[in-house]
Amino acid sequence: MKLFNWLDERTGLVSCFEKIAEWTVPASFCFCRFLPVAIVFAFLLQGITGLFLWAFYAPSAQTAWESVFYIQYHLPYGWLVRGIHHFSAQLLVGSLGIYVLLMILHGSYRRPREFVYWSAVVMFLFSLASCLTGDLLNWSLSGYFATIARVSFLQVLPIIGVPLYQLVAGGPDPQFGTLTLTRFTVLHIAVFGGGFLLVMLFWKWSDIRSRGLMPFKGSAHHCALACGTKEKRTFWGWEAIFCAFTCVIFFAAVLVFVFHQSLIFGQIDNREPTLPAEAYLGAELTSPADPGGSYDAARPEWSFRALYYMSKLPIFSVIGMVFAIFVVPTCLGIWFFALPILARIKYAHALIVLITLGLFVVFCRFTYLSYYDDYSSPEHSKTFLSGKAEADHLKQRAVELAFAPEGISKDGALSLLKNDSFIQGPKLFQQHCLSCHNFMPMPGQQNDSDFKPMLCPEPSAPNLYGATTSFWMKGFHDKDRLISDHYFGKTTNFAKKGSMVGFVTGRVQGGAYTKDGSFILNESGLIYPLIGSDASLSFDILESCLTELAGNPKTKGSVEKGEYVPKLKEMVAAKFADQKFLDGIKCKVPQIVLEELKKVLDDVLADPEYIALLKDSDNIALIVEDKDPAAFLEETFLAKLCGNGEPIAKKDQKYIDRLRTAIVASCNEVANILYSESQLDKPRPLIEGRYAGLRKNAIPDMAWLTCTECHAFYGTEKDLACDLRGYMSKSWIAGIISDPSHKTYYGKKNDRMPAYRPAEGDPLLSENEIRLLAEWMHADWYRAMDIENKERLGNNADLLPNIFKKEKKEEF
Amino acid sequence: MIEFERNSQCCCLSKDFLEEMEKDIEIQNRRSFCKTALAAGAGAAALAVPVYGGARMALYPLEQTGLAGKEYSLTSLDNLDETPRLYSIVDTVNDAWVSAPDQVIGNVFIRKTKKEDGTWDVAAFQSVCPHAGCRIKVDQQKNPKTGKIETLFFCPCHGDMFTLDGKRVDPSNSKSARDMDTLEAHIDGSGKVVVKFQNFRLGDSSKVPV
Repeated sequence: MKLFNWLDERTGLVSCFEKIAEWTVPASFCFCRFLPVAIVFAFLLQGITGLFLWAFYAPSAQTAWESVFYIQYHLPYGWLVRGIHHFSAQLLVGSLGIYVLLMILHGSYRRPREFVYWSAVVMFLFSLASCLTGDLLNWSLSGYFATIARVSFLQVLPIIGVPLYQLVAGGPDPQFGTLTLTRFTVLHIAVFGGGFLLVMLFWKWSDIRSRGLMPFKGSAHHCALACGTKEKRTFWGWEAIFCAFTCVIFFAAVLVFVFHQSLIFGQIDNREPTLPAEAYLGAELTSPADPGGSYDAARPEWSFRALYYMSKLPIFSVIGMVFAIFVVPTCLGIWFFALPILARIKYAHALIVLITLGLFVVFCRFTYLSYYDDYSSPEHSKTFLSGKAEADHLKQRAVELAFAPEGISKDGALSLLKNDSFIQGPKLFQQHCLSCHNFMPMPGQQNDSDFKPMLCPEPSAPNLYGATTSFWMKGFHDKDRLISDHYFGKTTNFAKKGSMVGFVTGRVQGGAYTKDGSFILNESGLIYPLIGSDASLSFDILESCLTELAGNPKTKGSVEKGEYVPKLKEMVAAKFADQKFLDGIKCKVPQIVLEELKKVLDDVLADPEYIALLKDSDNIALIVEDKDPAAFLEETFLAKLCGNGEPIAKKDQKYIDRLRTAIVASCNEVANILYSESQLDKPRPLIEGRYAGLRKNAIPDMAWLTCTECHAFYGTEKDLACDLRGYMSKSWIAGIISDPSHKTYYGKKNDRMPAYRPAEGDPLLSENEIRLLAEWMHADWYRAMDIENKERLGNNADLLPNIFKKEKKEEF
Repeated sequence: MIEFERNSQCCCLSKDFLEEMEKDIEIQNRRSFCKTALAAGAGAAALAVPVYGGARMALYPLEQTGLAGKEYSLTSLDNLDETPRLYSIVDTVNDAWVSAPDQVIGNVFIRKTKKEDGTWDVAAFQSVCPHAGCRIKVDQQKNPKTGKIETLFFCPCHGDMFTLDGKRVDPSNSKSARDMDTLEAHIDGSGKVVVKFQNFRLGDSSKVPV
């Protein structure tokens, strides 16, 4: 007891405590008495969570987002603390707004409670200012662009506008930077946060004092004026329980907001498996602010939405923005501050209540319309929603990269996105390439989820979707695809009259079809040297076999008996088995084609129709009588097989078709060779006279297919068409973007593509931008593993949200 | 506390009635206390969540572990001498959210020592003084025991001296509670000196890795 007396004498704490124990409140229950409790509780939450956040926050352009990212994703419960801080602030603003409104409705803003009312209005303004400054602190895309829009309005003010803006932004630069952040931090914490605390203490002080003063006469609400009612009861009973209950309900509401993204929108369950759950817990953190970028969905917080909507009303573009941004809010401020004085006039209270209600209805209506415009209005919502979707995409990528093994460098997280081909590729393509090149999956092409299709309304150059895949390369020997708009259909020098189309139609097809479907073999086609009437491979083989048969006395007998066809077949098979013979021709004909030719000849010699031709007794006589086997073959047998320059009937085309299929298959092989070229970053090194890694027959096969008649490849230096060394590889793509008219690429044939970085002249793209484009075409970027399953985007992965999954994150 | 109106007729109340009344007040007091306790509990529970979350955030540094003792290949035996040389340990530093490659994370002294069979061995020492964490130097100092000027490890902060094999020159008058911290070191197959780098708790008389 002595100690208490000693303490009380010096501090007065004990008697103060005794006074608190004697607190009384009106006996009747009223909801509005608990609003101040919620306000004080919300401020306590702000103080506690703010202090912890402050301990980890680093205000500078390179560290602000990064430190908030660290809080949100790395620190245990950082997302919770940040979420509580953000959403309890919103509820604090709302509670204060309703509190001020109720004071006006209850009439308790009047004598003797003027200072209670005024301090509540100041608290409301400070809470708004704290929200406004706090919005920028995380230095995210949304916060940055929303704040810069609001602060820039300062410049609208006459005379003081520009200096004021410079003071707030920390410099004349129209873009915000580190100095903006440092002063916004001080404004947020010390000026508005600390100021709020002081005003709040004064508010309580004057509130308690007002209870001891004379009650206001008239229609004051009984509980706002605690002194107004006779019946009283102690605070430390049910009242205390209700107060605590208010805090619990308030906090529960905050938690609902903290979890709203998973509770209401189910975003945690539906998120990309590469994304940690924290991405959708608590307050959202969009991607790092990019002063050079843009954000189509930049909007103020909900509390400023009405003002925002009002500023967009057409009248203000006539009378001036300064009215919407400053005159109207200032008038409103003066109006609300003047209320206790105005209320001294007789009957003014009723009018004040009416006008205030009217203003509140307008506020609600404008807020509603602003949200309606953004989310539901058919004409306005598209930009906003696509901006939001794009921001979400960026945010996911920023998180993915920040969690990558390389982590965030000293340059900050923005540099991760700036050097990321996954993000920058589509942007650059859209900006520089999409006006001519389409980027859509072609019929039959596999869709890659990492490449979003982009539509070019009037393409005049090849569709580059999957241009580094073998599917795309295979289009080069498909005449229909080649002259379609997906390839070179729109180019003048290339398509219809180009030599590449000529190659596909003439050489690969081997000839032309007439109207009735019969086929005329072309001497310049690739089938002709295999099976043509004169000096073709099959002709040579058959002729030499027949000559051998006819000239050999041992076999002559069987020939005379008409049993020589099996013998001939045997001899042809022997030719193909003869290594020496093969060595003589192999270098010219691709393996696939040679094998098909062998099978074709085998089948022809087993075909009754062809055997009948050979078995004709007169024809045998021709051989026996030492007639020319060549003329015999040409006139009968081969005339049927390849037409001898005459149209081949449809029913006789099957062998030709088979050979053409084999040629196409060897073209496919070349496409595969080109595909492996595309995966190279530099031309192959020459190792012991051979090109490292190149397929064994690549060069002779391409020579037989006559690719190297125009294209340069290893060993040939033709420059009639583009160089196929490293075709579509990163450095090749970078080269063609830089200067397509270089002789390595399209030379003088290039009639449309601009040189984006020519050897001489102004560059349209930087070296880095060209590199990003080339890397993007190659999908050369970092993609995270599925966090919980350690594999990239497993479809059947069980992705139950586990919000407290610290261990799993460490694996990452 | 409850309020009850004192009736003017109560002046002649019996003793029993007064006692009963006092009992009532006591019960009321107890109830009131329960209510207050309930209120305080509920209020505290609401505040406990942000306080717990914030405390976990703030105490996160305690959840992290130090360097696990990674091995670094630093130099080759030919470059070494019997006088210690200082080598920097370079590695990627993860400082909060920043991942910075090629940062110096510590320095070690390495010298070669002759084994009994005439072959060479290596000895490595932490350059951090086990007393208070200052950076030790190799310097010409007067040995307080022998009075001769010789090459010694010398800590400039509190003047501690260590012989070239890391022992305190004068343990009884030394500020440091232990000899210099030796690090595991060996020569690998290609003749490179490999050191296992670790930090140790300061001020302790025994060597405890942190």
